[in-house]
Amino acid sequence: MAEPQAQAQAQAQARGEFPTTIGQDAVFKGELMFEKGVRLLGRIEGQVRSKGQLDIAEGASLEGEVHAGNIRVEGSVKGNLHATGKVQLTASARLEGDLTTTRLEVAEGAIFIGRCVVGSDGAKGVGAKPEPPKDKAVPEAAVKK
Amino acid sequence: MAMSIFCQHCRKRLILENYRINTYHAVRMFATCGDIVVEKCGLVNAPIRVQNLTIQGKVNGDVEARGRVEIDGTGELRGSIRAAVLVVRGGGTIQGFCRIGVP
Repeated sequence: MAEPQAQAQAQAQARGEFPTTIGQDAVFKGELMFEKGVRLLGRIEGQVRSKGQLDIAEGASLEGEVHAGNIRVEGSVKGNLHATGKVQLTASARLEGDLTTTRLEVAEGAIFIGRCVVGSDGAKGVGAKPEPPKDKAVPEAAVKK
Repeated sequence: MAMSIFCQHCRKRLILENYRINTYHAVRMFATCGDIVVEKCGLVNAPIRVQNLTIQGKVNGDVEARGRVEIDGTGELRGSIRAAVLVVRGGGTIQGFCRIGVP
């Protein structure tokens, strides 16, 4: 079962879908921004921002806030996930934090604790700019002189 | 087949039936030891306590499942979920606090 997945991942790597890889023994602290895909095999502490795909491998861990296109979790995440596309939690995934996305796939065996907004409401929440306060114009007729 | 039994410890009545909901259903608590399927036309406004739950319609209420909660592409759930397994198919909508896989 693990071999076809490993082959698919190797093929994805070859196609350049994950040009960035954070190795198993690497620890990254801070804010990470990328355009295409990132495959996390080690540990990230901080914020992750991207329009591409974030792949958190089994045994990897992430602590912090994530804003990405698609997110696939096979390891451990402590923090909030915000995705404009799809979030996949595989059987070995462990997510502690809030989740906002348009599509969600949770496999049997995954652990998830936190608030969840899935669907079109999730798309509104991601990247939505807060509306500026509207000045309430009082009509002249309502003003008593 | 028995539709309900009495708990031998607390003497509380336990419903064993499976339910298929295809209309509007609003109660204070919707509890069964069996399975519930909320079909496309179904709308449930109640907290649900169940073994396995399949949502193809709409559910407004907290869900507590001992087994599996499946939300199909047409399904919509607004409320907290506490279950052993959660499966959300493409198109399904959830809004609420989730506690999945933790006993």
